[in-house]
Amino acid sequence: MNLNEIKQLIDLVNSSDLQETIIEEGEFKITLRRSLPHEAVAVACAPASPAPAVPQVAAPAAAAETVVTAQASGLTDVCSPIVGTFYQASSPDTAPFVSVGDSVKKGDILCIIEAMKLMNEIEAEISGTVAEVLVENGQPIEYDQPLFRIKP
Amino acid sequence: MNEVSQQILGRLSSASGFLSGAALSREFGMTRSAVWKHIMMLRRGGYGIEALSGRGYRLSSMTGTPSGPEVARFLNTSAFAREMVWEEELVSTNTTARVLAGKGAAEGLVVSADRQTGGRGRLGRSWESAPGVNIHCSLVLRPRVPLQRIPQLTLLVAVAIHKAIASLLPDLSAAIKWPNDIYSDGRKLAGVLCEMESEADCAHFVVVGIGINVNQESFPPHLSQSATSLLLASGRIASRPQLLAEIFNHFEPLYHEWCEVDDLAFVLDYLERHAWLKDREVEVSRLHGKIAGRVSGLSALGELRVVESDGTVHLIGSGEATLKQ
Repeated sequence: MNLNEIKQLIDLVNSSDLQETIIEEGEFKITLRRSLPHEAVAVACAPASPAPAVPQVAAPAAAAETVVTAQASGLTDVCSPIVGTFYQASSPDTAPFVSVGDSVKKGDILCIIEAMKLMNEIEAEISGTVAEVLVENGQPIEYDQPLFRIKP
Repeated sequence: MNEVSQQILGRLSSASGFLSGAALSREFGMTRSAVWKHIMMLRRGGYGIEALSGRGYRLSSMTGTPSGPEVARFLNTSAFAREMVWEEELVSTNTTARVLAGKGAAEGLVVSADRQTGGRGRLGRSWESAPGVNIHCSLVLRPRVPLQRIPQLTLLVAVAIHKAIASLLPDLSAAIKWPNDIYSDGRKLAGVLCEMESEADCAHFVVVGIGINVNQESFPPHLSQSATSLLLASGRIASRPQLLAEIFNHFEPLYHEWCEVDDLAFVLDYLERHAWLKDREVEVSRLHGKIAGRVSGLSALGELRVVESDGTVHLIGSGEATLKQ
């Protein structure tokens, strides 16, 4: 699927009532999820095969859309900088770094995203209150996927 | 053994013959009796140091610990492990390296410890660590590449460890278990755990933690089926400082190539050739349920390719693949 086809797909989903669309074509998979009425956001675009051109083209579009979403609702999204697995705590026996309602300061650790045994601690970029945790412990995460919503 | 003692050891190690007490006291800005105290401390630490009146001091034997002066003898890197912090005991070399990196430590700094009291594996799992026989170290990196590529570092380190082991023990059969472990005869020899601190689009630093069972003679019963050492697998004692140096001798050029070229192709062949999971049936835990299938190889980005019995292909980039029971 090329960039034009993805754009057409986003338009198509935007003009429909679909909340979420997953399309798999051979080893390529794209997920379009609506986060606000009539605004489809490409949150996930996973190449299942070596096809780096597609996610690189699609990712900036997704990032831009995410910012729009966050501004519209007065909340700031914390997005994943890498593809990986989401962990809410440093080990299975310890409490989550943060939960809904917690106040966080800029630089506080919010979660860990693991990929190939590399642990990436995600820090809060602003101070505020955790309004939403958007993903589950152990969930696979795509590039730029929103993880938390912070109320500044 | 304090930092000054280690510096004096490094000076003695790089000298070709005797060094006079007067020369050492000038170089280190201390009295000759202070030099003598450091020599005594080094001797208590196990180093053989001859002292001849009129000629000075000469290093006659090392202890075989993976510390700065001992590792340096085997290094041919430009930056990696040229600066080393050595401690007899640390809670975890990764934790210490992260603190130092946070204070601005340069790329290439290595923290090495003879014993770890709280070594960590993935997600806080403990790593059993005997004193005086194994390698526990952490390297500070500051890669300037897109964040999404940085997890690939684990694969490069695994290749470097595998090559280093092969250079010391060419007859030992070892394999790389995707993405971060080295196995021999189905048992774990070594592991890698990387940690990154980053902002939205750039890494402040990455700490590469390496643990290797080198000369450990036995394991407690609950580990004896799952863990092994170079000694147990090869029957030979290996030099820890030499092995540590060889890892960084191999890793530094791989790292520089990877920083310059946005492509893993230059190590994929090696990873495939020495892959422990290749063509095996594995299970990968997912949030809801499991993926079960046969490993057919790696993707261009280094992900594990698992093919289900119905032909569905999964590319695994995180989590753990275990052999199907």
